[in-house]
Amino acid sequence: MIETPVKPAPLLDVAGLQKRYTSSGTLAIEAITLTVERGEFVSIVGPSGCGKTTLLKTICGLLHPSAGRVTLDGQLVTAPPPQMVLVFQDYARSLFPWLTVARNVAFPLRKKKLSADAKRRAVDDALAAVGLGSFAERYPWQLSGGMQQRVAIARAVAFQPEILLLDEPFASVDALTRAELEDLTLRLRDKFGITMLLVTHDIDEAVYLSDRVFVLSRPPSVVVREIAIPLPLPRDQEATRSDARFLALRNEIHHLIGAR
Amino acid sequence: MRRRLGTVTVVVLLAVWEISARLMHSVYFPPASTVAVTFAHEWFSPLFAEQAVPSLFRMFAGYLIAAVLGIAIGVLIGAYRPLFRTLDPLLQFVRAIPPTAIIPVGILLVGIGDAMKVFVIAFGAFWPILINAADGARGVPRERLDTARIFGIGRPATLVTVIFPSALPGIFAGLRIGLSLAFIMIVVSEMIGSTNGLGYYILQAQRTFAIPEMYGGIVLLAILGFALNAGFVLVERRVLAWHHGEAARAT
Amino acid sequence: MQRIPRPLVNAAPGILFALGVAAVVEALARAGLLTSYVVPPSLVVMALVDALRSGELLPQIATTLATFAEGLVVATLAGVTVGLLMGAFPIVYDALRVIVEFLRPVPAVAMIPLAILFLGLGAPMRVAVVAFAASWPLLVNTLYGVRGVDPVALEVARNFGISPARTLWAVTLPASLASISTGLRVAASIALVVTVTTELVAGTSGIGFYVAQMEGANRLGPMYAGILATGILGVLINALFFRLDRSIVFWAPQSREVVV
Repeated sequence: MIETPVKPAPLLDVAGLQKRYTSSGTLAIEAITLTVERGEFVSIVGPSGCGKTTLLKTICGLLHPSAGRVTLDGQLVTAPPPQMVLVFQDYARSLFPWLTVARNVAFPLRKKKLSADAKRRAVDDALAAVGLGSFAERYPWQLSGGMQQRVAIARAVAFQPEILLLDEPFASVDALTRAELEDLTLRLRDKFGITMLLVTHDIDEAVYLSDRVFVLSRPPSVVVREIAIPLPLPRDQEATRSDARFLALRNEIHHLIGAR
Repeated sequence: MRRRLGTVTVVVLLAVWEISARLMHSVYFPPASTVAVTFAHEWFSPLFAEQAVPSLFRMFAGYLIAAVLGIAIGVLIGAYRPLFRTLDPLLQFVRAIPPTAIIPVGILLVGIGDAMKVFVIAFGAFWPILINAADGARGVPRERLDTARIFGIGRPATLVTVIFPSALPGIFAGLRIGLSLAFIMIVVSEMIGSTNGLGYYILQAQRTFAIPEMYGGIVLLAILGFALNAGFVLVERRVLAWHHGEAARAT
Repeated sequence: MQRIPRPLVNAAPGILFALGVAAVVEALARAGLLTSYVVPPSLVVMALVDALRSGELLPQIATTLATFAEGLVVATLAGVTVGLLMGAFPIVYDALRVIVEFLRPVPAVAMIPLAILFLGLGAPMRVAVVAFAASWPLLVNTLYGVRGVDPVALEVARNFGISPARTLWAVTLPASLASISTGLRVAASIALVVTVTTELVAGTSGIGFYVAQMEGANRLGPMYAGILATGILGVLINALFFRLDRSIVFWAPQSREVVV
């Protein structure tokens, strides 16, 4: 008898997650269930106001779910675990203006027991990976918005997490920079093997980047549909976006969000 | 050319002072030249070390105490919301009391002397430093605090490495107000219960009708006040260079 | 069940704490654990009520308020006028800048002997000192407010052929109102402190004079009562001008905050 191979457990398992806003008591998230496999790129899209940031913060452990649970690598998430890093949309407010770019990227390493050399190498590698090698001694506010977001991403990468949560990370930059950053995220996934969970309101972006897309409803939000994206890798801004399947998937999602 | 206009105006005003005072022949209004001569005579002498330097020492002692306590307690209060809510009403009341009104209490508790002055200066400067430090600590962007949690930075380390630097602009605002208050408090405390110091000197000069000396003392106070302020601005510009840079970019 | 208004809920722990502190001081003082120079708060409150009832304190409060108001009015007229001129006409700014930078750091109390010389002891002397002290925040904030006026508005006025004087009154002044309002709030707080201080140092009446008198007569209860009265006055005046500032800023066209 041939044994069917056992599928490896998902890296991130969100089961029946519910979240009520503590101040007003309204239900932001009714029940969200999703999984993310190791090495995957998963996006979450939904209409504005459907609690996407709250969802990411709860998955990350910054907030406590009102019901349901989040499991990372088999462990229950009750506080931000070291294998998971969240990158905020507002990079200006999350970076530290009194530190240089290099020191900002080195900040998460203070907890880790590494030698000074190892820390410096980690910082240099992370900055090189995002293309900011020559800006190490600048201050974040001296850089453009796109570059600041890259610093935030470098900081996350230097921490060597297993999964990266991205909260509409490219919403505050212009279209050209956004395309660059999208490709950067794909390259980082390939180079470091980091699993990606991206929240966005940009449907094109979600389809372009992801292996799977979860579509959310209006609040109190639930998962409306899980859509697989079988587009070929590696993705290319021109080729992929003009693929007929790209348009079909994109329209399907657009319809789903609009309909709800 | 434009910058010269300021100096020219000052020179013109000094000339007006000189001429009108000589014309008026009033004891209360000595000519600028007389005041200048008296100033040089009085203050470029051991008198400076006897009267002015102790004043400054007391002021800095009180200011330092107020700064250390005010910043430490202020940042703590600002960082812990429930703590802030509990202490705020009492703080708002105490800070509304004119600090100079505490001087009689100080005299009763500690007598007239250096201890009283340092106490009164510290009391006066403490409240604006505390309140502004707390405000600074409260205004730390949520994302920064969350970032520290995400990277597993514990509460105490977050206080020192994230909250305190974020609060520095607020802290310096409080320190600046505190410095000018300390300066005021030293002068007043020396006018009330004292036998030496600049405040005493000026008041005594008025009482004994040593009028040019009185003017000279006021001029010295003006110079000292200006120097303190300028010094503070220099320090602030250095320490908060990153903040000025960030703010400039935001406009 | 009716919901308790939020501000009250928020202030409750603070008020309880303040009362708690008073209770502790009360207990310690009565037990004789504190120096005899500290009077139990209950006796201070009683002394305050007595002083008010006996007519001992009310005239002093009236004097203080009168000095405060007159000084503030003079300060407003002087500070706002000079600030307007300096802000609107660069030549005035250049001419006066050095003098302002030199006079501003002089503590008003240092002017007391000078004021006594020219105005004797009494109300005019106190008003002069208060006016001197309170002018600076008004001057500086008016200056900043004028500088921040939208140049387009000024252009429009020029195009309509409105004279510089009329522009100043009709365009610049209203646009700077928010900044001036902040300056007024700061000036009010300074005015009260300087009023009480002047009364303390060289007064012949007023609350500050009352406190000094009571200290000299070793009537500690009334002395603390006087200090308590200044605190209450301070809180009331701060609250009043804060409200005023809020309502001006509410309908003022521009909102630019400067903290002096």
